[in-house]
Amino acid sequence: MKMAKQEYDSSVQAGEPVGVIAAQSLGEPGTQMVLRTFHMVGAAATAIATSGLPRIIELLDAKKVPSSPIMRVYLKESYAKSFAKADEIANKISEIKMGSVMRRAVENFSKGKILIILNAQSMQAMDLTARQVAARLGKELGVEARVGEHGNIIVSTHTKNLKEVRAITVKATRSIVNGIEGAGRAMVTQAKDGEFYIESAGSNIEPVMQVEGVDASRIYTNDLFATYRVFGIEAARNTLVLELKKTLEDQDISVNDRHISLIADAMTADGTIQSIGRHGLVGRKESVFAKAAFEETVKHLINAAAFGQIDYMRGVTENILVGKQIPLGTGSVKLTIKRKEGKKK
Amino acid sequence: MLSKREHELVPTHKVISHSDANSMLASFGISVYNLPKILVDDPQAKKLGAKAGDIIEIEREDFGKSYKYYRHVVER
Repeated sequence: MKMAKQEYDSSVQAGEPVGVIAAQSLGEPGTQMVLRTFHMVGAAATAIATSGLPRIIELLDAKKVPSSPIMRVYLKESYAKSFAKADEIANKISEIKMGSVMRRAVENFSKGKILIILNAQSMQAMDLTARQVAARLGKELGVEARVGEHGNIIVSTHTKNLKEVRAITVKATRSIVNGIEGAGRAMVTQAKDGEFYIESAGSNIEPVMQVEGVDASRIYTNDLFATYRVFGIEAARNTLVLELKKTLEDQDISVNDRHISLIADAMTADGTIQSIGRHGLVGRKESVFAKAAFEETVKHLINAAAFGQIDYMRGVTENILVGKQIPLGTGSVKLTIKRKEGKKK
Repeated sequence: MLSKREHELVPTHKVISHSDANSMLASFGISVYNLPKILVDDPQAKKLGAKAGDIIEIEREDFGKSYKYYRHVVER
């Protein structure tokens, strides 16, 4: 009687295949999603993010780095109210490579010097001075870099070796001259409530959190593994839920939150982020038959035979395979009779 | 923000005592090994100084509903 009441009160009944239902609930709308990768989202110019089915696949496969990382950096109250202050921080974060501000590099091998001719127009557009660029370049490469005539940069190397000079030239043209590596182009955006925040087309939260004025407790990235590294498994799970939900909502698909939560919980159940599929959740299954029925049948069977593995036939797949009742729903209940009571009748 | 949490996305973590853990497990009718896991070197577990074998109670808030979630601390 007590069990019957508990059963009645619970939101999911015992033996209900919640996992299968979650998978189908996400899988069916997935068939209606767009297969295109690029798609403009929102008003921000930076946000050309992977969306739709490719993004869902990326999330469920637990890809180490998202194909279009994005960062939302919120600022502390004193900075969030003025555009100028927010823009100042955005300039500190925004990643600019040498390649986008220079015209060309001229090497003088006999003197071991490299002359970098800057593009004045793009320098102005990006709000940079030659002195800033030279200072940063010197720090990045560990060489002496100073501002020469006409605002050009002169890099003095300590070698006259042709190969080494050329190597430094190549490094210099690829070097970062402003901002934080990986952070991408950062722009100030205004939220509906008037707060200014920074949106960026790259992600590298660890150094960004250290920047003065950044509210580290609200920084957001769509990079699951970065969140996992910095904030732990629970934050990664929450990011996973938010990303799945947002991707679905962008395509006007509504999936019940519980299904999304369940999938995220399953993917993070062992304390790390597991993908769904051969290398993740399915690969971790105990049953040999269940694994063999999924992918790489022969490999699993040969391995099991070679190592003398035992299949306890507790799962669904293996029981369907041999034609037994599956341990779900009605099949999860077994009947036992107490001897004494049986005798009374 | 009301809470003093490290980050919006990080719910409150707390190591619970063995007796609390046992009564929780008994109420669900499961063993520790049925619980979801958290690694000892997870940033949150580290912060609490949790050791392998401990159970961490997490106060989750999902879509407006709050509930408790438990994770078993394990070695990598």
